[in-house]
Amino acid sequence: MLLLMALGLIAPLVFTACDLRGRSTERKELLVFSLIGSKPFADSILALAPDDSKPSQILIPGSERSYVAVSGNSLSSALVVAVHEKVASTGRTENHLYLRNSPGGELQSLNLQDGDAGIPATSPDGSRIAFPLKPRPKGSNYRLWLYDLRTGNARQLTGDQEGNFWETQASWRPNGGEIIFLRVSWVKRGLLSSLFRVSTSTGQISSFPGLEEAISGACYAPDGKSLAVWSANGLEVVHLEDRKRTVILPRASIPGRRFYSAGMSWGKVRGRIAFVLTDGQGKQFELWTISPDGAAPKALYVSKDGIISSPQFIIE
Amino acid sequence: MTRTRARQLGGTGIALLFLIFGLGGCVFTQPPFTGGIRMVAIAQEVLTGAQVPVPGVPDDGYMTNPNGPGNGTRTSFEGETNDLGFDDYPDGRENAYWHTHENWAVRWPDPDCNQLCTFNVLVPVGGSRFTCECFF
Repeated sequence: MLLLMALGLIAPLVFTACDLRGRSTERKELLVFSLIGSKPFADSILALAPDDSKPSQILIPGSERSYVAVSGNSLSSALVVAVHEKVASTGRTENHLYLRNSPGGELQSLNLQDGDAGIPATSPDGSRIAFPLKPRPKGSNYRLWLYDLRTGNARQLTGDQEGNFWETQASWRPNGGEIIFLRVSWVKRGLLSSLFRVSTSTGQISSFPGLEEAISGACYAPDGKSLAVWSANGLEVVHLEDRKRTVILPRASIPGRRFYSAGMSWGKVRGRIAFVLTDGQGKQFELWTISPDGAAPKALYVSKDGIISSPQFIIE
Repeated sequence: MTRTRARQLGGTGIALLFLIFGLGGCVFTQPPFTGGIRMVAIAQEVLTGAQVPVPGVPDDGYMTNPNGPGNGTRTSFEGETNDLGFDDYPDGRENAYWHTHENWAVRWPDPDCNQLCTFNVLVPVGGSRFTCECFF
């Protein structure tokens, strides 16, 4: 009798341990994004698990510091965080990049030229960071920079400071040899955004054959063979080898909604593509995902207060 | 001390612990004070129809009248939006009427929208966001 009771007590522990061990081998991918608040220092980083409808805050703003973007390959390893904070010398607020080496660890400032940084993008091997920067005081526009986490060196990757455009939304090719980004310029009626790529070794900039038209968002597939782009047609998947284009979410299929140009991501585990839509009046922002074949488009999270920005799939 | 009395004291102690940790939890999970003024600029891409946060849009503002006591000491500002399309003045005087505007024309001579986004509104306690949109 006593033996049976002891087994009864031990069995749940054994099964729980097995269950936990089984779960620990499963790669869980979170959709991490920023919520730009309705007032200063109200910006936070949130994470949404695949089957959850309510995100959790992973970086909570303070009274003089908030978090506007994050990038990394795993939440348990190094993350680069774009921190919104006050600059003592100017009294102004700027975004600066910091490194968080481990969960709960302190943020360490990256040794960059003074200025305002944009949304960072971590290389697939985690060793380099691409980001837009507008150096202070002489910079007039945001240009793409590259920071090497191993050496602590930063260098400007693209262009001069004079052209009437800005560069944004850097995203890495999975082999680490190339970064795609948008150049946005002022034209007569509005803005014009175009997709470019830059070699990380030679610095050579080029456009994609067949994609010279306006593109307002782009990211590579995890295998590097395709791109997801937001074009005048809507959301498209472009196979790079044969340049075949497939519209997976036509603009006409989302009446009353507009694409919000604040980054895209293509997940490795479930293979879904994440992007942000608005209600067309800038009053409501929605975080969406869709399968690369256009199946199961779904709004995962809706915000009527904050602006959803820089969605990124990150392994937990 | 009787056993009953000891149980009562133990129960009270546990209740106190719950109260302390419960209240402590409430206190420590309160969001920090934030406020002030945030200027936002969003414009439309002409071909894709996308809405784009716009950096480099000049903004300025000045307090016209206080409405009562409020946080913040700044009564005027001048700057421009950042890469994510916003510009902040966390020490802007709250509970006061402000005149603010964002001016596309400096970077964009002929936009197909209202060039000046002008607001004359009360910035309440807790702060405000002013969003200038150029959609068509």
